[in-house]
Amino acid sequence: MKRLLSFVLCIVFVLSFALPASALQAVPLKSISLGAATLSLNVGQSYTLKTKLVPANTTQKLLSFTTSDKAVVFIDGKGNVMAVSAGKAVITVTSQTNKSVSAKLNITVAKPAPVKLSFCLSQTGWGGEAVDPELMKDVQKVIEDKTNTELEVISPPQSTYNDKLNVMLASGQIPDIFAIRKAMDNVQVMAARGYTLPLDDLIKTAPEITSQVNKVFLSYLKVNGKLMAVPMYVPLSKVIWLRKDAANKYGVNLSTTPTTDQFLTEMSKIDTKKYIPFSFAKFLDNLPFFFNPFGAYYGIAVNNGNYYDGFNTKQAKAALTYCAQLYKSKIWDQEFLTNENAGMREKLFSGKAASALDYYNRFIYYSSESARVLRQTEFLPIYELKGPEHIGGNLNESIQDALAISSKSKNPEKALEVIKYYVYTEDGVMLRNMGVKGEHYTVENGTVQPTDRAKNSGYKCDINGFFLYFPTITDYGFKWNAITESLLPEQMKINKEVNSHLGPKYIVPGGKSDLYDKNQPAYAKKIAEISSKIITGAVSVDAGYIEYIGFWKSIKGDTMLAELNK
Amino acid sequence: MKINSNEAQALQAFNIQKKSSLGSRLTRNKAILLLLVPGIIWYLLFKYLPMLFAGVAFTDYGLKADVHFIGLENFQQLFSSPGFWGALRNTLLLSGYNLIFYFPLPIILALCMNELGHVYMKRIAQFIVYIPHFFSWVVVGSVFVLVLSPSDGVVNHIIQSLGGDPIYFMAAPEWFRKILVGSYVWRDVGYGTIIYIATIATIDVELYDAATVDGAGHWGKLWSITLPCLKGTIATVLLLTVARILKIFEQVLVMTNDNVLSVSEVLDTYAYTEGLLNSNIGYATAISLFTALVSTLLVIGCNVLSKRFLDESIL
Amino acid sequence: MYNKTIGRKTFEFLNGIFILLVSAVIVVPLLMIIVTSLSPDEVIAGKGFVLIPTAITFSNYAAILNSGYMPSFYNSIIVTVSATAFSMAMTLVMGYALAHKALPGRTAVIRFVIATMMLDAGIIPFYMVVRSMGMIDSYASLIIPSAISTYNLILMKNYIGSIPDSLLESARIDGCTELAILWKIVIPVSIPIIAAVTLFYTVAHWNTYYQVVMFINDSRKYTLQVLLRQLIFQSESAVSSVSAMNNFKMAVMIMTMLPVLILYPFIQKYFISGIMLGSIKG
Repeated sequence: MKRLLSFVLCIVFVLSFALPASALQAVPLKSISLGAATLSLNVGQSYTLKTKLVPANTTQKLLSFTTSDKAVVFIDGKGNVMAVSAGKAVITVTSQTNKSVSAKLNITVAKPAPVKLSFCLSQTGWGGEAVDPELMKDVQKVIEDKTNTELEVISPPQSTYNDKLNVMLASGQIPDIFAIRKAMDNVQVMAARGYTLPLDDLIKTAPEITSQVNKVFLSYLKVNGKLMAVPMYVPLSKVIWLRKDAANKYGVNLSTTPTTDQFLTEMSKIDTKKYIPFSFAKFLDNLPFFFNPFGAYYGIAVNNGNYYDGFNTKQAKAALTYCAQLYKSKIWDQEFLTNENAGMREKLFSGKAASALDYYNRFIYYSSESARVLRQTEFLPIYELKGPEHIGGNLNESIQDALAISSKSKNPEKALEVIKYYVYTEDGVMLRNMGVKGEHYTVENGTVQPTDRAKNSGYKCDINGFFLYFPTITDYGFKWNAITESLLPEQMKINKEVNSHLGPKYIVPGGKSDLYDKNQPAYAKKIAEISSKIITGAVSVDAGYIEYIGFWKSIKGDTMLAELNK
Repeated sequence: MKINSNEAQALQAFNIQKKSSLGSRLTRNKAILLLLVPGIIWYLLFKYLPMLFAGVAFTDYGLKADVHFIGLENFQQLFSSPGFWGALRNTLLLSGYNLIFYFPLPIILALCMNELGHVYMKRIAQFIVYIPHFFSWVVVGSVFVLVLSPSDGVVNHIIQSLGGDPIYFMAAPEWFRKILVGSYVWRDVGYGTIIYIATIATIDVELYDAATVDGAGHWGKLWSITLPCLKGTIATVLLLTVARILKIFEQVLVMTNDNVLSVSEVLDTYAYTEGLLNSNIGYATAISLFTALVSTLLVIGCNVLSKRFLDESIL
Repeated sequence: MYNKTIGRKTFEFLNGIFILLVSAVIVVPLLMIIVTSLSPDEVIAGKGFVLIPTAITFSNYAAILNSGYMPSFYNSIIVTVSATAFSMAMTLVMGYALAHKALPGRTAVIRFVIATMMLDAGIIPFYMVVRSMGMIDSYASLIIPSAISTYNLILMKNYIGSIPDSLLESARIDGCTELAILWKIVIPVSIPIIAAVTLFYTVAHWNTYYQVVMFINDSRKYTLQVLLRQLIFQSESAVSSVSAMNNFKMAVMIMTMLPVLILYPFIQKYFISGIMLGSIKG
């Protein structure tokens, strides 16, 4: 009996702690107040109900929340309201203990007026590069719908993009969103001139971006520690593509990472009357592919935080000597100075050249183009050349295109939302590479096909872009043509492998050295000119470097480095 | 034989005009001055208003987030930069060549075409020479690259069949200026010719008839009628050519490459790289101002020469 | 002219040869462009150009016509016609006024005009002016700011200046207004130069590319030049996987210049040795 009593006492004791004292003396809920009877919200807006219980010390505090239309307004168990789409809905708050006590709130959800934004992105950025303005508008409409914006799209032709953007920027008209070409170098300049908005705070609201982009790549777009743009592509790099038919014909035996000597001896087996053994476009900023094996750097380089002129080193001289040797033995395209990108590509897929330097994602492109012009063969990648000290690395172009938000933008949040949608969601990437289903392409028997209208407007309708865009799409919802499907596994292998062959890429900060900011284009032009003259044998290495040193002095190169190293 | 040329008539008319009353001259001039107003407003708005911007030559506009006045620093940089002197030298050389080779050719061509016997031949020839002017420099550039290619260009095939070694013309500094001049002539000779053809078309046939009666032959008529009538046009075209001769831009931009940079960089491409591509707008404006100065000097010089030798002053 | 001397005959022969040579230098590359544009991909691949056709296809032309060509073609026509008309009006009126040798301040105005050929502020301030007038993204920006070419203006002024004043004077005595004189007397006797300048303006406006890109934002308003350059140049882009080969590019070129080329013969007939002045005076 005593035991029983102590047990009961114990329970009473415990219960008296567990339940609030008031529960024991019930205070009934008389009414619920929600502050107002009506509320208007915009789509996407959230709101927490301000429930006030009368009396305030009521013991019946448990409430339930219901909505008359889930499609318009969603409400969770804690009274958090989310406006889903335009319309009207009634929220009812009911006491769980006494169903007769309740309150209602009429919510009107309006679609907010679309936000006006200007968006400057070259014509090739809109739905598979179709130039037909109507097709571009179709893509624009989808973005506008998804992000509730009204875009003023400025889409100058690719070849005049920089002119147009720079004229707008210099005259003080900065588009809300704009693409920066050669982003790693140019973002420095743009930020130093105050055109770009630091994105560090904004991007916290966009986990889609930070989760998809490697931190290292984001750091390439930082200026003074602040993020100024987000990349549009994964880092790009170039490798050598070798035609298998030419290689077999002359017994060219090269691994995917041959030494510079092997490359020279094997390529010299090719009959230069039948093939250009190695084609190169006129852009000498592609030279790093041959600088890396010698441990040289084509431009201003960094070593332990110390900036130095990578071009004026004995390694660079060795690299140029090697290139000149390739040129002299007619391995190197004798007419590279008049080669445009398209011309170089044509030489390779048409079988005029046996190899060429181009992006790693072009395996399917070259294979299918060579079939189209009836010169079909397979293409073998050479990821990098290894130098005398067994170092190397491919041509790392890193972040080529990035999107920045104007420092003057009135609505940077919305601008980021547009970027997020178009660049970092699967839907957006699909739209960017393929355009609009029905307008740009159709799916017949599960296989994708370009529409006639798109096909004639320079529309690609191929898989190439998907290798470069962010969310990797595994299910396209259709099949590619038979050639693409058969080559896809090999291309995927190459895409993976190339990452372990990336060459170095250094950033020179903008706004740090006035001399550098001013002389950067002259410097780039000069090193290209000297390199070109040395390679073609117009001058000897020594004579070339004497001219170069004269130039370096004239731009006060040493002072420039000192300013950078400060 | 004395020619009763249009100019002489004009002078006569001028003398008559002088005699008319001052009052009627003023009212008539008022009407004519009124006709000038829209043109002058247009020039002020679209040519002179933008020039107010030239003040940025004394600032670091474009280079920094805020604009600073930096005095003559841009000009100091200009005169100490080897890039600028190279560009100036190339521009002057190229302009000089263009003047020597391009300028007289349309006159010769127009005269030769005028001598063609058949009207249809005349028309067809006129039509053909003008066609290349329809092509943009981008096309002309790619046509020249292919025609001059050392491996499959027509020109090098001819050189090789004559036993020579192929030449990579586009990449050879010693050839590049010749190619620029050649392609300029190729594209624009018809354009120049049209002006002279239009002028020849207006020469009073009575003058020729009179000369025939006087017993003048073809050459006599050419020397004593056609050329004197073209004199005014030649002087004008010369001056206008000189006024814009330093503006060599698109042609060089599409045809240049790194190997020939030392001979191909001209003032306008230099200003373009610095100003538009590197946004060093203050500096680029300084380059433009200097170019304008050189142009002005050339035009004044040309006007003096034209007054002296052609008896025509345009300014 | 049946009594031609031997010297004369030799000259006419050599002259014919000379003109023939000049024409050949122009025609051969032209022929190359045309033949290339008609060759199929597999013939052209790796060759760049062909002079002698082995196979012919019109597929490139068909593709261009189906590439959104027509809307931008209409845009080009609208811009070129209105811009040329406006240019001619401005040039004729100003050229006529400047041709009056007795006009006070005439030399100053001519210098004021010619100076603009040397001074060039560049695209940025020009853009700012056009923008401040609210013309960006409208065709006004392609018509008004580029209305007068000083070169053409001076040619026009000189030509009109060479019209005998007696002709104008008599009209003035008859009480004609200046505009009426310009319309009734000056224009009819200036047909050759008007034809030439109209041609220059038409070709210049038709070929405008840079200003269209600078001043027009809406791609639906782009002219033919922009569309066709896009077609040609997108294969140059680093990441593009379109291969526009020379046959396609050359077809594009021809499609761009064809409309103005067709216009040329119609203008040309006004250059033929005229009796214009004589007929009026007579």
